[in-house]
Order: sequence, then C-alpha cells, then structure tokens
Amino acid sequence: MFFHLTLEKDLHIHPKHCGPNLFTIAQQQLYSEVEGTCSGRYGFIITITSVDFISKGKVLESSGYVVFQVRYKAIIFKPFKGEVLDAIVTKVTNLGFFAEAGPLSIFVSTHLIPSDMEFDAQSANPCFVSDDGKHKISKDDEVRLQIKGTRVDATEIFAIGSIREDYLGVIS
Amino acid sequence: MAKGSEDEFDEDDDVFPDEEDEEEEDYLDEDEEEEEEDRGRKKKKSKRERYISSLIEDEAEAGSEDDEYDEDDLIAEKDFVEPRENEDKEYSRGEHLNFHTNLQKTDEEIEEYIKQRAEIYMRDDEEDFDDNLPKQSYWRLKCRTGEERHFIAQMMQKMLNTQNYPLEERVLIKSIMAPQHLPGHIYVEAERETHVKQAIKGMTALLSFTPMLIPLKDIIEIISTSKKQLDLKRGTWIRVKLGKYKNDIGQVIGYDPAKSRVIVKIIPRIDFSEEDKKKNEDEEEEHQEDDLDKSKKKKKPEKRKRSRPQARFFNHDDVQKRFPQKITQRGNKTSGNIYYIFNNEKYQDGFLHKALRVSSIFTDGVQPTLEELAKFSQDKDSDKKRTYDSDDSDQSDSEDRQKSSTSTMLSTANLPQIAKKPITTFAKGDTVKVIEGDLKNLMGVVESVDENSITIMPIHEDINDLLLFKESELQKYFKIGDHVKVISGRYEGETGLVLRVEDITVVLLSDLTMTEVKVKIQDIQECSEISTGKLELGNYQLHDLVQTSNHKIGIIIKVERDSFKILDEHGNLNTVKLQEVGNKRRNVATALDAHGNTLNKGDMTEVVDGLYKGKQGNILQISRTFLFIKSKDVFENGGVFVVRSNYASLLGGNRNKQPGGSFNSPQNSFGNQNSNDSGFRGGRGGGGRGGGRGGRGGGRGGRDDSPLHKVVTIKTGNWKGYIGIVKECTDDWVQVELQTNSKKINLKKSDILLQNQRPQVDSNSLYLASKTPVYDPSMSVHGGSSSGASRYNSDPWSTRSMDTPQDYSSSTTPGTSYSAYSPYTPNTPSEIHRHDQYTPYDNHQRGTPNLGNMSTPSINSYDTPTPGYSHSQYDQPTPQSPYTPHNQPQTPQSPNIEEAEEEADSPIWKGINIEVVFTASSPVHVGKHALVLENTTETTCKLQLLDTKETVSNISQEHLELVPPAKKDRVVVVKGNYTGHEGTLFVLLGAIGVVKIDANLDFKVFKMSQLGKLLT
Repeated sequence: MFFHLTLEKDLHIHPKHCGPNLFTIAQQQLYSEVEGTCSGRYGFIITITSVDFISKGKVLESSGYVVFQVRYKAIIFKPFKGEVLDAIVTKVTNLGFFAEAGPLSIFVSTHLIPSDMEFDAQSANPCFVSDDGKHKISKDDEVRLQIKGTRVDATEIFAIGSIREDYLGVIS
Repeated sequence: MAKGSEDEFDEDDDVFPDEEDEEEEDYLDEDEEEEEEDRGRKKKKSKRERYISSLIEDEAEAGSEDDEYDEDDLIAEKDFVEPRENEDKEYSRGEHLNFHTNLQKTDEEIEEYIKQRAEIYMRDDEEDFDDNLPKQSYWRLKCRTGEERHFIAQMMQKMLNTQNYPLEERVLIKSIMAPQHLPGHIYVEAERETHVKQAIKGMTALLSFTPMLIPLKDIIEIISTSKKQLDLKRGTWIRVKLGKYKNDIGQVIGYDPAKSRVIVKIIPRIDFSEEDKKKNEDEEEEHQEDDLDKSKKKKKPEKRKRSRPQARFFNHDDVQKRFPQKITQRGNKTSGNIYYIFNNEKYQDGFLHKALRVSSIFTDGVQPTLEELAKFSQDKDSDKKRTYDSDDSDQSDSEDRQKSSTSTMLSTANLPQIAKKPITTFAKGDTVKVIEGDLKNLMGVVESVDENSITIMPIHEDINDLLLFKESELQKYFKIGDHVKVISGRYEGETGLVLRVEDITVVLLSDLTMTEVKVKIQDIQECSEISTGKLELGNYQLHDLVQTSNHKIGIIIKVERDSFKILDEHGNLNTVKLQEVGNKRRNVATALDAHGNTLNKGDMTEVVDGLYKGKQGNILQISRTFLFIKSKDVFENGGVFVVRSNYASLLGGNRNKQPGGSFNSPQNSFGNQNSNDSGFRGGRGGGGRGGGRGGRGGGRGGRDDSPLHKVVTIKTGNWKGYIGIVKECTDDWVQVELQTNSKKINLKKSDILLQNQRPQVDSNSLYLASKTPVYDPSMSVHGGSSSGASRYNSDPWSTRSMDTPQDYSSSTTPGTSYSAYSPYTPNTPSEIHRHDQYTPYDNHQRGTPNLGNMSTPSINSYDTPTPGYSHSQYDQPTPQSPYTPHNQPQTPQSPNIEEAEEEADSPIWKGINIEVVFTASSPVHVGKHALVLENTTETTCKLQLLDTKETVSNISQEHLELVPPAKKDRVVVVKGNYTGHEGTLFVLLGAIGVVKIDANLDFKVFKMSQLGKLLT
C-alpha cells in the first residue's frame, strides 16, 4: 500500500558544501540518502515529493559536519499481509518463483502455487506450467499475487506471496 | 561416579548449617543461616578440589563424617515410613530431655522456646531436599535377580535372630530395601561399611560381598522413580532399551500397570534366514516341535550378534508364501481387525505388537524423528483404508477403542506430551489450538505457563475467561506467512517464513539460506527477529576462508551445530565437520578483474561473464584467481557464489584503463615497453594488435577500444538497439554477431557501443570534446602558470589517474577522463573537486617530466582534434570557477562542445515530429507553430500546422525556426553527429542544454540550436 507521509531526517552535510548552494546540496543529499531506501517501520521510500522544512544548521564540534533537520513528504510503499499486488517474475526455480513489485521482492513457493501448476525443468527458460498447458509463469511475466507474510528487516522487506487463490496468477 | 561424588559433596556442604544447628538451633535465625551457607559454599570450593583427586576414599570419609547426624537430618525431608518413625522417636526423646533441662525456666521462656521450635519445624518443611539432605550412607549390594525379596526376608530374620547377640554380631544396619524397578539391587542404610559387611555375612543370595557406597542424590532418584506414576497413554512414543529392537521407536497401544507390561507397536525385525532354517528343521522333525523351539531359542542370541535384521513392515502375503504353516490369521475379518500370528508374535497392519516390560523401555523424552513419524503415519493411511473397507459394526468394545486409537495415535496430541523432558515448548503469547477434549479446535493465546498446565485466553466471542489446559491438549498454531524461529532440533536458531502448515510439520523458507526447511510444529515459535544464523563455531566464523582437509580452499557459507557448509573454489558445496576444517586463510590476496583493476576484499563488483553474469556483489574473500562474492540477487548458498576474477568487473573502477593502456602501449613501444600494461591485456591477445595500432597511432593518435569479443550494442541503423558480440575488428569496422539470431553484420566502429559503457567514439566526436576539456582548455588558459605539483599531490582526482606514468597518459585519454564524468559521479557534490583541481592538475602536467610524452606526435594529434579549440576557451565566459553549480558539472565543458560542433553547426537541421514556428520571413503562416512531418529535402520539409491541422509541403527551413524546448521537454538532436538521438532536456542554461539521451541514459550537452522540441 502506498502512503504519503511527512518524515523527518537529520542531514549531516560536509562543511565543504557550506557555500551559496548549501540548501540545494542539502536537498540533493536528502534525495540521494533517502529515496530508494527502506525503513522497517515505514517501508520503502519511493520518492520525495517535497521538502517542507530545513532547519538552521548546527555544526558538530567533533567532526565539523553541519546537521540539518529536514522535514519532507515522501511516497512510501509498505507491503501488508493479505495485500494483492501485481508483480513481475524475476526468477523461476524449482522451489517457486521470485517476483518483484517495484522495490519489493516476493517469493512464491511451490506450496503457494496452485497444485495444478508444475515446474517445468525441461524447457529452456524455467517456468511453471499448468496441467492443461494454458497458463505459464516464466521470467518477466506479470503475476497478480497476494502477500502472505513479510519479513521486515531494518533495511529490507521481503515477502512471500501466494497465487493459490481465486483471481490470482498470470495477468495476460 | 565422579558426578555422584560431587553431588554428595554438595550435599555435605549444604547440610553444613545443620551441623551447627545441633548446638545453637534455637537461636538460629534466617540471617545466620545465610551466612552459614556462604561459608559452606566457600568451603565447598576448596573441598571440591580435594575431592576430585581421590574420589573413593574421600567418599568414604564423607560418609563417615556424616553418620553422626544421620538420624536427625532424615526427619524433615524423607517420606520414608520407617525413618519417619525413627525420627519422631529421636525427636521426642531429644525434646524431652531438653524440656527437662528447661524446667527451671519461666513459663514465658518455655513458651518462647516452643515457638522457636515450631518455627524451625516449619522452616524445615519448606526447605528443599537439596538444602537439607541427610548425610546418610547407603550401600548397594547386588544379588541374584529374583531373589531380592527373599534376601530381605532373610535379613529380617537374621536381625531378629541376632537381637540378643553381642554387639559385634548383631545386625546394625538401619534399613534395607530392594526397589522393584531395579532388579538385582539391594540398598542398605547403615552407619559404617563394617556394619553392612557384618550383616551380610553368610548370606547366599548375594553376587558380591563388597558394598558400594551410593551418593545420597542417587538414592533420591532410586527411591523416587518407584513413586513416579507411569502414564503410558495410548500413542505414547517409547524406545526399546535392549534386545533386537534396541533404540527402535515404538508406540504404546496398551498398558497394564499391575503387571507393568506394555503392549507396543513396533516395526518388526524378522530374520527370515533364521526362519528359513527353522522351517527346514521343522520339516525334518515336525513331530518334535517343542524341543526344537527350545533349541531355537538358544540359537537366537548368537544370530542377533551377527547381524541385526532389517526393520521392515510385516507383509503377510510374503510370509504366507514362505511359511504357510507358521502363520495364522486371527481376528474379525469383517471388522478389519485382522492380525496375524507368526512365530508366536502378533502382527497387525505391518507392525509387530509386542508385550514388553515397562522397565525395558524408555518413556521419558522420547521424540520420534521425522522419518520415524513418517513410517508410522504411512501405516495410518492403510489403517484408514481398512477401516473404510469394513462395513460391519459388530466390533467389540476393545476393538473399537483400539481402532480409534490407531487413527488418533499419530495426531499431534501425543507429541507435546512425550516431549516432557525438553521442558515446555509453549511460551507466553503463543497462539495455540486445542486439540483434545470438548473445546477441540478452540484457538487461544497463552497467558501463562505452569509446570503442568497452561492458561490460555481463548480467541472466541463468547468465551472471555482464561482456561486451563494440559500441555498435551494444546498445539501451537501457525499461519502461512508467519515469521517463526526454530527453537530446537536440527535447524535450531534458524528463522523463516511459514510456507505451509501440515499436520505436525511446518515448511519454512529460511531467511538465511532461502531454502525450504521442514520442522516439527512444536519446535518453532513465532518471532520477529531475523536470525543471522550462527556466526561462529570454534575458531571459524561465517565467511572465513578455510582450507578443508582435502587441500581445497573454500568459504564458510553456513555455520551449523557442529559443522560448516563450505563452498569451494569450483562452486561445490560440502558439509565439513569442525574437526576437518583446516587452516584459516588470513592472507590479503588481491586479484585483477576483467579490466585489469585490482580487486580487494570488500569491493563491489559486477560479474560480466559466466553463470552469474550481471550479478553485483561484495567480494567476501579472494583465493588465488577466485572471488567469493555475496550478492543480494543470488539466493543459493546464502547469496554467496564463486567466480573467476576475470569474470568480474570492479564497480566504479576504471573501465577504460585497458583501452587507455593500449593507447599508451604504442607510445611506449617507441621507447620502453611496459610490462605491467601488457600483462593486463595479455588475456585478450592484445599484444598483436598493439603493434598495428602503433603505426596508426602515429598518424592520428586515435584510440582503440578494442571491442573484440566484447558485447556491444548497436547504436544506429537497422539493427539499432541489438546486442551482439564483436567477432572481428579493424580500425574502423567491426563484425558483430548478433545475440538474437547469430547473424554477423559489419558495422562502423562508431556505430557500436560497449555494453554498460558510455559510447566510445572517434576522436573528433562530440563526446570526446565533451570529455576532454578538463585538461585541454585549462592548458590554454593557464598555460605556463606556476607549477602546482604540490597541490597535485593532494588532489584525489589526479592521484587516482596518475599513480604511474602509464596511468598518467591514460588519464589524458578520453576514456579515462570520461570516467571522472561517468554516470556514477555526476551531480555528486564531490564534483566540486574537479573544478577546484583541474588547474593544478594541468600545471602539474606542465611541470612533470612526463610532459615529454605530450610532445610526441601522437599525443598532439590526439589532443588537438578540434580546431579552434583553444580560442573557444576565451570565447566562452561560462564560469569555470569552483563555484559552478555542482549539480551541473557539465557546464564548463559546454564551450568545447559548441566549438567542436562549430563546423557541423549549420543552419540546416533534420528531424521529424519537432515543433517549429514560422519566422517573419515566411510568406505564409507567420508566427504559427507547426509540426515537422517529413524532411522532404535537405532544406525543405513537410509540416502540419498545429492549430488547423493543415498540412503544408515544401517549406524551406529558412522560413522556420525551431521552437526552443523548455526544461523536461522531450527533445531530439537535429544537427551534428548526434542527429536523431532523442532525449529529455534535463538542464537548461541559456544557450546550452543538458540532455539525457534515451538510448543510453547518458547526459550530453548540446547547444540549444541543436535541439528540436519533440511533439508527441
């Protein structure tokens, strides 16, 4: 699920940047430090929509770095149990397949793939094929899956998904 | 034995306070007691050392020391019937005496005294066994099995008989017992060993006449085991202690406490060869069967020693065929309760139903392994089948019970119950499900765990009270997707996500290894932490480089309980025991990547070839030419894989080092050949080409990307965007074999692009111009200014490219300088350095002896590919100060681009879908905007007016003006070398724009006049 949240961060800026473009640099540093990261609490920070506030800087005595408190709005992606997502298959193995929904990587185990789909080891690119041969899941296919569980790390979120439900599976 | 003695010894010390009690019992309060205990503990330490040295003697010593207090101490804690009586006597006597001495005291004093006494009693009762054990001595004797009771009776008789004898002939032992569960063992309580010896003198039932001192702790066990009530429920798992079925798993199907016999279901181990023999014998002497049986029984033990028959299910068909006479079928056929009698043993559903003595089985903490469980549950299915087959309902009560028991036997109900020893596996907060009783299938959350019961808060609308359950009635409950931790068993410590929940097992996706792991449900617990796995074992840590026994080197990718998973240089995975792991490698090896960069531990690399092509990761270890890389994109082996170092490429490294080097080598070939350089290129046979280029280099100073055998992308033409491998290459042409259809096509060298690399173009291209200004313009600007060599030294940029003379010259190649501008670096604040530094850097160039190189024709010709280049520097007022906005690093280069393009910068443009406006000079449509549909000739085009959608043809470009794009507009390059490239205008600075080219996502700087606004 996506959220638009206001977040805060302490930016440490090297003293060499203390010049005319300080705030531009601060903003850029914020972008580079924050965008694309993942916090266990909020989820993936997709993009910063606006920087609302940059406090006055405070020079740290020990290092000379300048600390700014920055408040910004960002679009955040946090996966939840039970959420249904569209994802792109990135890797297919005999244990299941991995898919990515943006920054989130999801593992769909064979246990959570409908039992009528089987791993086809013969074919050139590994895939899961349904008994009637109509459906096939291989790399780069789009699938719709439901998140069954997440493992939330400080810096990473990993999920396992299921396509063993109605209306889930390959989206053609 | 050693443990025992220590235990006893603890005992001794713990009781120590009591010794003092004898005198000052009355005045003892809690504090004093603690002090005493402290003292005792200290004493214990010193004493223990002594004890370890000579066990047996000291034991004896301890025993005799203790004797004096025996009787008194026994009182409080033993439930012995006999001693209790003794105690009471002793106490009352003692008290009596005391009382008399106290008679003179006042009533208050007496009252006080009695209270204290009471307190002591109370306290004693509360105290543990451990604190207050009697220092009694027990001696063990062995007698012939079966004669224990008889022996005791004899002793009693002897005691009575000798009652009036002189002291030395009397039986002076205190008590004697023969626990039922320990056949052949007799325990004698006595003060001294001599008493025991004297008492047993002349007894015939004994096997040995040397009494063995037994530590008191053991006595507790000996006595208490008899009290422990055996709860052998149907379905309890047991293991057989002895015999053919030793250590085999079995399941209780019946228990007779009176006879202390259990009927156990077990996988039979029938020795058919033995049976064959018997059969033959049987046939020979059928009439003497009884005798034969006996002889057979005698034979059996020998056989058993030789080989243990395989455990396999009883297949009555097989047996029927082989021994038709010996097998009989019994039971009710219709009810499905058929069993077979074979060799006097009962077999049902493939299992042997065997009656065993309780003493010959282990019941405590028996945990079936998964395989064993599987075997027993296989049968469950067949059971069911049989049950379904049966249509008759006239089963006897017992049969019915039996049947239901077999089907429930394997339910998880039995598992936690058996697992009593590993403490309780439930913890507060666990979600559980009731699996037995009225409230079956009720869910709840564990509130508290007691010794015998578990309190749960049911998850149910109507039940809001806490409920008590036995451990055996509950089962943990997990859902798919729960994050759990394995708390016991083989995979202990691992965490993972639940993929599947089966009856009694759960399949996890391990966080650590990304593999599936099957564990028992009671072995897991919900948790949020993520295990990193065990990181250490012995001296070794995860990701250590170690030598394994067979002189292989590998990296530890997983630490298990007592072994490692080691990935060797060839990518093989082995499990190696701790003992077999050899030396740890601590060398700081380095290796060279595909581009000749030095790789160190911890560097980020990308694999450019082989199985793991495209994967990026950190180098964990380097062994010779093998890199052990950990990547997030790889799921096997915990993300660790091994590649040859020449398949890897250092990220952020100097990709063009090699081309730079090759450019350099022709130069060097005039003078000194550089061994290092050729070393870098050796693998690609570059040496041969080097010579050829040397000749050419003199002429033009052009550079050779040597794309041979590299994967390239085609930039233009019909095959634009296709990827192929360069099969052959000349100075200007390359032959590319397409990946898509193996077609070989010839292309101009300028039309290909090395993968993952910015375009390498011929020297007069716009690119080159855009890449070189750092050095050249400043040369003209600052030419002849003072030397800045000292500043150079502090310059990170120049040092990087100038470690060696070779590097120096390579740093002047477009490729290298490009790397400074590579996509990895633009827009970073550090860019500022470059602006700061290029001046001193150039000064340095001037000042260094290397400059000699600069005067070689090749360099010159190379360095001045753009006429009018230096004056451009003056023309362009664009600031090059360090204060140039950092996010637009390209700015200072822009003048050069323009100048480079000067020649090509004609008023004629080319392109479609661009927006134009009619100039005032136009005969028609003045001021109107239009879309270019077609370039009919070089100077004319076909347009569609934007407002009226009217199409007009043959409009001369003289009458048109390009509409200047705005920031973020889609643009197309309409003039110059880059004509046709589309992109997005990223930065707009007056007459200059920075365009992000779609084709390779590179940033390019163009004059605005070169850009047309795309209309889509």
